[in-house]
Amino acid sequence: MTPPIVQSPVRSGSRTYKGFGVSPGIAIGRAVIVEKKVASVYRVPIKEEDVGREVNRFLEALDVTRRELLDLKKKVSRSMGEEYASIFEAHALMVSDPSFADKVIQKIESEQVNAEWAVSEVQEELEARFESFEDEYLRDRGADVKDVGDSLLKNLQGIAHHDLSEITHDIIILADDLLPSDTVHFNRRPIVGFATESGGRTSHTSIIAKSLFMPAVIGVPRLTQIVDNDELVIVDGYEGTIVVNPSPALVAEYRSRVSRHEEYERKLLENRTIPATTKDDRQISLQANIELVEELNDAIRYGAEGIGLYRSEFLYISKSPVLPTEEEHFNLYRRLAEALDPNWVVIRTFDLGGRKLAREVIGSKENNPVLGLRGLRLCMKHRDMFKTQLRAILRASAFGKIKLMFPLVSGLQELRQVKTLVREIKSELDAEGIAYNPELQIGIMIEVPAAAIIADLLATEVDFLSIGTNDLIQYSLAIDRSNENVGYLYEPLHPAILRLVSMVIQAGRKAGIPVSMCGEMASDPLYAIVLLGLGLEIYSMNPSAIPVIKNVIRSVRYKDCKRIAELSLQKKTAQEIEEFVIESVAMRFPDGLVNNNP
Amino acid sequence: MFTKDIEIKNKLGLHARAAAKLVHAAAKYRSSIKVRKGSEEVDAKSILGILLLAAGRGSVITLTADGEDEMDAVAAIQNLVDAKFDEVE
Repeated sequence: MTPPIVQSPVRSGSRTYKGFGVSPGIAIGRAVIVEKKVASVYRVPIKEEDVGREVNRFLEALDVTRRELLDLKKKVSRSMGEEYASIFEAHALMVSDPSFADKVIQKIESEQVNAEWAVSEVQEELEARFESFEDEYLRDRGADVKDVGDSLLKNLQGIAHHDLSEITHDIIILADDLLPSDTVHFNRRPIVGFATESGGRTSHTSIIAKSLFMPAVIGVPRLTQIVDNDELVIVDGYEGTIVVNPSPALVAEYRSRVSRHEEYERKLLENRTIPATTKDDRQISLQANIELVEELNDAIRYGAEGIGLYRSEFLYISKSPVLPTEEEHFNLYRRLAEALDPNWVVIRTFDLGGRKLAREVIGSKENNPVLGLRGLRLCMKHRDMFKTQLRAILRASAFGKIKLMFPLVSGLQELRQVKTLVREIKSELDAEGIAYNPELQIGIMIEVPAAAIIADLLATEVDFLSIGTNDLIQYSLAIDRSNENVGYLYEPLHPAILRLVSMVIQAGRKAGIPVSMCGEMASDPLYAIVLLGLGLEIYSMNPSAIPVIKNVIRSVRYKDCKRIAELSLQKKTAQEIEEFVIESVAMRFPDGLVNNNP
Repeated sequence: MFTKDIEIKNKLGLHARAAAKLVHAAAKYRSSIKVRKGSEEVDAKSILGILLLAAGRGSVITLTADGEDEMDAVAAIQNLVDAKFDEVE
């Protein structure tokens, strides 16, 4: 249903905020801000004759919560596997646990108080007991109790008062952060999209948004403070932006963009079988970055020539707090390789940052995780965990075209150590008589500036290089893109970045090995032109970006792009470069970059 | 009545998912089943009870089952604990 268009009661004018699109699509609705804390709970004495009714109200909420959790478990189990869903089963068991319910009922009856108060009292008692535990991991289970108690309170209040489902217009959920339990409500009307302040690309929020096919944007700074409840909001999951209080004209434009986009996508998909070749016959390979096996279909549908980056972290996240087995790794990689044959899949070994999920797995906490134990360093420190994955990748390499890639390499020493480890595992497999591809190609991500600077040295000891621009830009420019004070300085066209990228491509060419790019930069049409000119031949990106970039490549001449890149390298600032590139594109390709001229 | 001491061997101890598995196993039997650790005794069919035992790796729990299928019940739980709840470490 179309929400009525009214002016904001508090702020006026359209505002646009930037985050990261984690689930594509456009959603338009009224803002509903979810505060992390549950609404204040008051102790309300009730009459003796109302006690029975209050207990029933509690039991009803209990039942609703339990059914929601089992429902969620089923859904998550279908999209993400049994093991991942089992936490919701544990939560459902807690809700049904008589030792919890009995205490609440007892409190309602003996103190003659409202159910909300009784629930929060029992919840607090339980949490206090968990907090006294010595075992850190078991102590954290207090969070499960809190999560369950909070859902129960929400339902209690929903039954007593009102529920989102009573709202008749479309709504957008805005939150600082979302718990798995929050998403219980998310796949049903009237919710059409959501956005959060926090959350990484492999966070719960992004994973669940994707599996619900619901447009979502994460990482919007101060989101819950800059939007008011009931303001009209557009979530643009393609661009990673949210537009607040848009003008009626803008809403109309977005609405037509929704339909235009469907039309556009249909058109784009027509090019899926034709090669990404420039007008002067330079052959480019467009591949996909994926992290879920389910995304394979997308990759194939959008015409990817293989997987240039398979992020292997999700298996760890879905199994957390236990570690995946070698068989689980192996089955997954074999499935990928078999599904993609005759194309290649590049499996990047796990790059778990020092965030929450990693903490559960590796038990460390760091002040500065971006510069801490992550990437290859973490792999080498947790060698057993790493060996399990490497063995599985090697074994799967006997079943299809797999390449092995290591993240966050900063020097040769590290690379040599990890290559020694691979050799050791190969001899283990030999001794056990287990098959693997002895010629398995090994490559590295270039995402630390030091690695880019010594790319010539690294290139002589690996089979391929892949430039990870997201981290390379962040580390080179010392910019945290999600930090609102400096985020604007995140400039992919900064002369330093262009020089580094150019150096890496040259180093690969000299050593005679392929260089690809798997960062976001590769999926931007404007940047793609500069990269083409710098000599990049393999682009890897989100599957849905492939048809767009393919059209760009088919619309241009390499010779022209090379000239644009050469001249860009002589400019002095990111802004000068950007202006120059835009101007050149407008001049050389007046028909635009998405015209698929045959 | 049948009683047995069992050592918790999985890395994370009786955490939420492991406790859920134990509760499911216990619920299949008609016997009343208690789990004791130190001075604390809880119902094996209560997940909160199990979690509140705070039984980490290496701790020893005492299972006591009482009823027609008491031996089977204890054996089933013991198998689950010994198999480290089918977790991988």
